[in-house]
Amino acid sequence: MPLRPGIPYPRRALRRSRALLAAVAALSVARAASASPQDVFGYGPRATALGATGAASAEGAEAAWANPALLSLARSRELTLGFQATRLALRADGPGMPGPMHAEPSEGTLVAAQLPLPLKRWLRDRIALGLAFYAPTDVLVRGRVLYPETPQFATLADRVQTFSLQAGLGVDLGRGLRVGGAISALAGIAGTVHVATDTSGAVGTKVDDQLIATFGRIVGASYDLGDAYRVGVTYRSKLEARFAVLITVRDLGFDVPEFNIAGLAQYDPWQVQGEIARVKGKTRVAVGATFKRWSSYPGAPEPTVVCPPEKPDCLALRVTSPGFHDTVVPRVGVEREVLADPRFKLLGRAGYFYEPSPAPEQKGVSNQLDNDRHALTLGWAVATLAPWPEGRFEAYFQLHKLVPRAHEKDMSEVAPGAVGAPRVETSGHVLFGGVAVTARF
Amino acid sequence: MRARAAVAAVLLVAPASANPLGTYGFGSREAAMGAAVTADTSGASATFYNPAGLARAERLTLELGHLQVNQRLLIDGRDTKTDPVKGLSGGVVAPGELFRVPFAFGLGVHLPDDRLSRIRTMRQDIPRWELYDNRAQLLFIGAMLAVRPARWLAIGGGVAFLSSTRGDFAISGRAQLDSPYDSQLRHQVDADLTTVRVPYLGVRVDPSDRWSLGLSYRGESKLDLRLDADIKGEAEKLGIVAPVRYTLGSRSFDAFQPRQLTLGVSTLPHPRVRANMDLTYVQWSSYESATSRSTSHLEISGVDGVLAVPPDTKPTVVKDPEFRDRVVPRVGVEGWVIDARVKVAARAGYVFERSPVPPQTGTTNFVDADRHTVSLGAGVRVPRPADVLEGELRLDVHAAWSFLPERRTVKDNPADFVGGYRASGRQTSYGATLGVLF
Amino acid sequence: MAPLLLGLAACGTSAPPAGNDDSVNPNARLGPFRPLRKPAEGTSAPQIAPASRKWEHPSVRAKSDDPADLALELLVDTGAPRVIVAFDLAGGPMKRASISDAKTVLSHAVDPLAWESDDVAHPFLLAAEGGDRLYYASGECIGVAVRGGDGAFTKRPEPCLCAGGATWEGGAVVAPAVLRVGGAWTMFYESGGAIGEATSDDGLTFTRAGGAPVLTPRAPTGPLADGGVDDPFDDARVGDPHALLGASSEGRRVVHVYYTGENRLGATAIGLASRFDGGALTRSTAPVFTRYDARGPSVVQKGALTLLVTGGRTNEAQATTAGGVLVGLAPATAAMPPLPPEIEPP
Repeated sequence: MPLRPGIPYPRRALRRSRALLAAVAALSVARAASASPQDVFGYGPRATALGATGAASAEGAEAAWANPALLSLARSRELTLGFQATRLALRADGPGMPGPMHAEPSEGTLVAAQLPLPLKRWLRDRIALGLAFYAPTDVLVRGRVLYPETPQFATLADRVQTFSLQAGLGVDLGRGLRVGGAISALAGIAGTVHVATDTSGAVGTKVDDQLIATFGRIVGASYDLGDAYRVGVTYRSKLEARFAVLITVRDLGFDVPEFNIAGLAQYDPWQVQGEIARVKGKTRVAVGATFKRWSSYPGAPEPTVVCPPEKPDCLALRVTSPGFHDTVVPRVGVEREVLADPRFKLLGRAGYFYEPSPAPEQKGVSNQLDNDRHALTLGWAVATLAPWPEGRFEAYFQLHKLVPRAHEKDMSEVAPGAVGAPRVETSGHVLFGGVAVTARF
Repeated sequence: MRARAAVAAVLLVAPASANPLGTYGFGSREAAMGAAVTADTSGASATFYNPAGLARAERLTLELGHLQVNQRLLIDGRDTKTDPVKGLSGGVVAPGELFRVPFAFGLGVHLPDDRLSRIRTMRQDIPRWELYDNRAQLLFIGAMLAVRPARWLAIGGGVAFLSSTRGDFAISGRAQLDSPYDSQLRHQVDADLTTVRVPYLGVRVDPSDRWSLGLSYRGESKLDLRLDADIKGEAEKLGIVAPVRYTLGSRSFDAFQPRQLTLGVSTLPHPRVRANMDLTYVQWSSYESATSRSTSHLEISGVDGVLAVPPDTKPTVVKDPEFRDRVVPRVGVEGWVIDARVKVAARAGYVFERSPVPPQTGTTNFVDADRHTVSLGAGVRVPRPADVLEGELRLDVHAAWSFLPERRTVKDNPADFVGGYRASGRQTSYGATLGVLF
Repeated sequence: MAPLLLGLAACGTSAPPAGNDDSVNPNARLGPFRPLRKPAEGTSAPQIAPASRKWEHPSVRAKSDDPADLALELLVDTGAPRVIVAFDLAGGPMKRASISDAKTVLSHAVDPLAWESDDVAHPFLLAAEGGDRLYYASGECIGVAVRGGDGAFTKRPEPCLCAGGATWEGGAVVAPAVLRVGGAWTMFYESGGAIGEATSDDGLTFTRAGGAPVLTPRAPTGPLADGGVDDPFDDARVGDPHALLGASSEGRRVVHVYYTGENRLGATAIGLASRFDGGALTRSTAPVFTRYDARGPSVVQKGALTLLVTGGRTNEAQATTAGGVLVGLAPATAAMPPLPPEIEPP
């Protein structure tokens, strides 16, 4: 019998123990993972149209995410402003399932700057900075840690509504070797709500809310294989944002435990992306893969009641690993110069990647739903050249098709009336697209 | 025994853009000159003082500095232990041309060492240093653009970003009142950090090589914190199971930043001396009290003789703080004491900020006093410090001392729970900024 | 740039405990009060006297001038007919007093006076040269007894003040509270649901000051500016005054009067009204203690703490437990001194 709001607990100790075990089991598979939109779609007008590649092929400020080493390719200052939007159409069918899942649409602005440092002599054209920023219109970070039995596409739905900020530096070491590093930022909450007698003598509340930053590291390297080919590898550390509010209540006439309302609002696993690309000629191709260390994901929820040091064996519920497994995401992207003129160029872009789900089948009371995804990416760019003001106008688009998936409940563990029992089927698709203008100055 | 408890809480922190830069300065050169730089700034600090100044930048500029402020703010001679302010400041200015018009992009950042922002709810009768408590615990990120359509005219603007918070928290499970840590409880979170943007605008006019005028505008902002909780279920104590309902509500504003309009002038009375003066109109009259409005209600049935149930608190009636607008004068001077290949400047500044807080003769206790700030600083300019760098290396340092002379508060009502008090304080800030012009 | 990036990555990443210690804030120590917290500060219920009998109208006096010594002498009236009994309360966390600790100090039966009734009640204990004075109410009057060298109180034959001296009074004068300022004595008393004032040169014979009460029930003012309803806690009766002498932050002498406020529904709470020399009593913005249906305040200041001893329910949820004595503490964010190691928690 799972813990469910509104369901009283059995009086007998035996039945209570069963409920407790079931609750622990339910918590153990809760995994409301949420990651950044760049982990879902990639970052930047070009990379997202090329199958979220970039470890060997990124250009411009978007290399701050894809591979900071490639920032050193920059030769001119560029400022990019863009707008992008996401629409999710997700389904969960089965007993107690809603069918079409509600997922809020997301829009946001993209700001990126490429700033080569104008150094001289042996440092000429070797070092550049990149700033890459995306801010959803309304939400900087969305964190949802829902009850595990609540049907949710938590690994996908909220991930696309998170701001991303990368600041990086790339260095050209010569002989075709480049290295770079960047930081990626998120924000979380650490707060306290203290209910106690205040100086007025009455029971009142005191709230202390602090916004804290969390940072991840990105390091990358690339090596030119002659003039036309390049290999690149990028490591990104895990990036997580934690929401934690500690609620303490005193002076009510009885004791209540401290409520540790905490969880991981956003989580990107550490990952390594490798790639080889043809970077010269009218047709450019990038092929690579990303290894994502999802098995390190600790799970979103944290214990609501934390056992104090003097009572480490208290009966408060505990959480265990959600059982995610590592994934490998293959990627490919192609860019072709469709039309060339002395004053402008027209580029067409396309790509594909396959994102396996790191989540296991939901056999228990939990309904943390997730699917493998096929992602088709498209885009085009018009680049203007002198004597016109130099710049680009770009459009990009992704279609993610969720591979239909069925979750067969283990009926020895799940009550017959439980949400999703005996079978849940999930499917859907995701649309993502945007436009951007880049100016050289 | 069975019991169930559920908590649904909503935590909402809305607009936020407050920052410590207006109080303690952004950039060591600017802080050393009393922040009288509206007509005389072109580095990363221009993102805060006057974005139009970005268009005067001639080279790609990177700046990084650190600010430390120690506060000793006293009430009745006792240190209120107001949090210190410390953090990194810096930014990037990238000048260029767009459609053959001088153009610049600037990014200014102040990152507090500990936290990006902090807000606390507080009742209005609890004394606190209203202008220096939490308002300085905030992040500043400003992204600005500037153009210079004519040699004598620059126009700039942009937005400062910060985050607000909105969330739902829920707890369910079995609450064990006799042994709280044996309670089997769980929770869910639905929380958002939402985007906040505050406008910054600026104009700079240079009628001659010796004179500059600047005008800048900063929008108003504040933090809004709202908490609503609803606990429903059953509680178990001494073998008695009783229905429980507990509702809790709290709402407050914090970190208010008033709308500001600054007019500045800068002149070169001598080729080696620059003198600046700013007048800032600060619209404190629209100040909203950083006061929590709390309500709570607890119902437990059938526990007579076992539990003592406290009565409800009465809703807070928030009084209009009636702050007053003020005009803040700032002056700063800069003299180049060494004007060789390596240049060295000495700087000084003074600021007087009249307290916008009226006498606290009633039930509110917004503690404040007039503030005099004296600042000193120095700067070094090293052109072409290396073969690879054609630009300039800059190092600026500053120190500032703020004096808040004693202000006595006398209550009209002799039955006031807080009573009268004396408030005074000292603030010491210092910092350094390293800049590289490429 | 690497140090820059590393530096940035270290910023804003911790949430240290906030400063701004509320406990250093100024506080006039007038209230509001909170009940003692269990178990460190008091008994499991905040009463310090058993509820098997009705213990009412407490009056406390510090047993020493040492600000750290919280030992108190507590007087209450009880029984039928009412007599005044005394308890000795040791310092530190309040222990539940035992009925065996009570000692009768004043009754009508011993040295009865003609103006007294069978009931002797409303004690108010005041230190004075020549022996502590115990003011009390009986019949229509207020009398005084003086403590002798043997610790026993001896009644003065003449009452201090009797009913009938003012048109606003509604019968007996009760609940005396006396202040001594220099050579002048001021008595606050209750009559007809209001509080009056009388003065004296010797503290033995009092003359009414003015022809009106100094504090009357407060009528509601009508709708509030925020749309709420003004709901006074003391719109039916004010009484049981307890006077305390204090000073404002600028050194002006202030008289504080704690009192019982009763609303039209019969609920009671403890209020505070104060005045500068020569002024009128002004109420505080809120009652100082609203819990446990409190009534009959007595206040003693010790160091940074102020203790409120008041009658009321011993169990907030049970109306039948009225008749106990309980203790409140101000400032509410302060704490009682720790228990000496040789004493077990109550």
